[in-house]
Formats: sequence, structure tokens, C-alpha cells
Amino acid sequence: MSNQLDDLDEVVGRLSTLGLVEWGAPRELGSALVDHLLSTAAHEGLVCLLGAAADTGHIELGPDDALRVRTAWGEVLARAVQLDCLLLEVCECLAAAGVAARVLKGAAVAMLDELDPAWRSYNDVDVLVPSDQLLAAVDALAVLGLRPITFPVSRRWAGRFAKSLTLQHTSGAQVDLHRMLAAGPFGTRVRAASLFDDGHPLVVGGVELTALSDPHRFLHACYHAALGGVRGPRHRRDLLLLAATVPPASLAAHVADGWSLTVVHAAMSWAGESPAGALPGEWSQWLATQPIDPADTALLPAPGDTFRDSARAQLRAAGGPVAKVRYGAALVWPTRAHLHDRGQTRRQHLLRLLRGGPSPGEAK
Amino acid sequence: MTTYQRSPRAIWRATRQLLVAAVPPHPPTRIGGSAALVWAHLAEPVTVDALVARLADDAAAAPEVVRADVLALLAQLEPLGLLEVGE
Repeated sequence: MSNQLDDLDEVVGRLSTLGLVEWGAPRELGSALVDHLLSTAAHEGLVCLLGAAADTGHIELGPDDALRVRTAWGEVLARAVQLDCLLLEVCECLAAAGVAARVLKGAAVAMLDELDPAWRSYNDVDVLVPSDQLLAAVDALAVLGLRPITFPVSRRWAGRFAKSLTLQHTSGAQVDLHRMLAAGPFGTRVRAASLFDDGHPLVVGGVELTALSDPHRFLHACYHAALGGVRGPRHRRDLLLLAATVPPASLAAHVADGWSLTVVHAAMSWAGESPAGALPGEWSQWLATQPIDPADTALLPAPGDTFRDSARAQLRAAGGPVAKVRYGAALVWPTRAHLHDRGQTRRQHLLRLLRGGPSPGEAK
Repeated sequence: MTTYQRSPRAIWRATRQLLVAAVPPHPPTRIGGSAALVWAHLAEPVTVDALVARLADDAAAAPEVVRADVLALLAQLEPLGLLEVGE
């Protein structure tokens, strides 16, 4: 069993750097490993990379396994196409409402950064809107049948403090509508308007949308990997792909907008645990010489940190008692609609707060 | 002379053995076989004769066999809005 897990780790490591480092001789993969890889969580993104490795002859599969992998890959790609159709509708709807938008993560990385768009999977649509237009965007998107999956603690709080709101389409697809790229003090510190100062064109279905600029996509990938809570091979690959086009020297210009190089350092150190040669040499050198800010290091979340931990860090970082009350009041006393969506009574919510336990369905 | 080209409105992904494509509001269609290869040649307007010649060359196959496959595929793609047909 341990040999099989060692094999799994080795294959996952190699898939996450497919096309970025020399592969060597084709590797045969048995049915048990294929089972493992096909059953990994969607956010790991391994089904596409396994399909791509088989397609390019780097991995050799028996006929039944080859068919299973092709079928699974086709399903993931159909999902991506479906999500791109929804992305297009979302962006057109926001434009009609006068809300600017930037395409984030999956669709943007697939089409702008991945070696082939078919190698990148994603499970939802991610769009950034100006930080003061989150609620206007939510209201505009209601005509598409998109509704908040959970009512926020309060609309006003969401409009001022939330990182994002998740909307659900009648088809079941989800849209993450962001007003910031990260929760907590690191997210708050970034000057959100700077993300709209420039951008990278992204054509979807013949329509030109706008993604974040190259450095902002890279910084977002770093923040997601270091602060996002969940990370895996797909997040590591995103970092490696973007690091190949964004040189470390270009980051200094973004520090004035509130980006933390300590967060970048944490993310790239993790990305650097990849098979040798995957991290561009200039990044290895940067990691060895870049000073780390101890105050920022203390703010980095520990593995398993929840929204509650992030909210506490945000509360500590809020300047003055008024700001702390503005941020914390709705978290302590959320709307009835929020409690209803969470399946909680107010008493249960307050007792959980006092005990310090997690709320059911706690997120973002 | 009739030409065929991918619709610019098409949203798609292709592997060596599979094409997944949609023009909203149609749901994604998955087509195997040589569809992805044909799709690659449809990036620019092309006549059936030229398309058959290129594919026959790629696959080292008899043009008459390729032509039947190509016509069947074009007939599948067109009603889904995935093709632009020009004169």
C-alpha cells in the first residue's frame, strides 16, 4: 500500500509539472493508480493532466483505463465549456449594468497561461467586480437566475467587507463574485481599484472580456495558494506557469498597491517543492535572497484555518474601536435570512460563537 | 464555392481524440474520432475539397473515405451553430 501511495505522490508531482520539465521515458500506469487519480477532488485538477499525459504519450494506459480517462476528461471539459458559456452571460450582464468585471482564475489561466486550455479544469466561474459594486452586481445577475447560495450576514456587511459572494445558477453552476482577491488583512490591504487599472484581453465565444494583467494573475495565484485554505497540484501548477512569464523584479512596482512579498515568498516556497527544474532559476534565487517581513509572516494562516480565523485576524487589524464594531457587529448578530440559510437559530449561533466552534457550512 | 469555418461564437476545448464545443445557448456537444483534427483545420474558411485534401494528407487515407467522414461531421456541427458557412 505504501509503495502504491509513493507511486501516487510521484505521478501527481510529475503531472503537476507536465510540459514544464523533461518527462523522460513514458510511464506505465496500472488500474489502481488510475482509480486513485480519477477519484481525486476536482480542485486538484488531475483528470485533465492525466488525460493530457496519456494524449501526449507520456503515460501509457491499458485500453480500458484509456477509455475511462478519456471519458472522465471529456466530462471535465464539457463542464469547462458550460462554465465559459455562463461566464460570457455573466460578463455581458454586468457590462449592461455598467459594472466593470475582471475574469479570474480557471477560465483566465486555462486560456492565457496553460500550455493547452484542455489541460486546465475548473469548477465555477470567478469574476472580480469593483469593491463598491458587489451588491449592484449581485442584483444585476439575478436576471440570469443567479442567487446567493447563502444570504450574507448582512447586505451592508457583504458590500463593505466580504471577499466574495457565491451565487448559484438554476443549472447548479456557481459563480464566485469577488470584491477582493483574498480574505482577511492581506486582502484588505491590496488597493482593489488597481486591479482595474489594466488587464489582459480574453476572448470567449468571440467576445472580448478582460482578465487580470499578468502580474496580477500571478499575485492572485500566490495569494490563493498561501491564504486560500485549500491548495493542491493545480494551484502549484498555476504558480509555476505564471512564474515563467512574471519575473521577480517586476513585483516591486506592486508593493505600493499593498501586495505583500512575504505572501509571494510563502506561495513560491511551496511551489518550489515541485520536481527539480520546475521553478524558474530566477525565482529560486529570489526565494534565497528576498527578505521576509516577520509581521506579515505572523499573519499568514495556519493550515486548516477557517473563515472565523481570518475574521479574527481582520478584526485585530481593523484600526480603532469603531472600525472593529463595524466589521464585527454583523458577524455577531447576522440577519435572520443568513441564519435560516445556515440552518441555525440565533441562540445556536451565539452559543457557537461563545464556545469558539465552527459554524456549519462556514466559508469565505 | 462554399466554405466552412468555426463559428467565432463557439466555445470549445479539443484533445487529440475529442472535441467539446458549444454555441450558447446550446449545451456542449462531445464528438470523438477525427472531429478535433477537422476542427483544427476549420480555423480559417475552407472548402470541402481543400479540407478533404488536407485531412487525407494528415492521415495518409483515401480521399473518398475522408470525404464521407467530413461531410457527416459538418452535417453534425452546422445545426449546432458551430460552423459559419460562406459562399
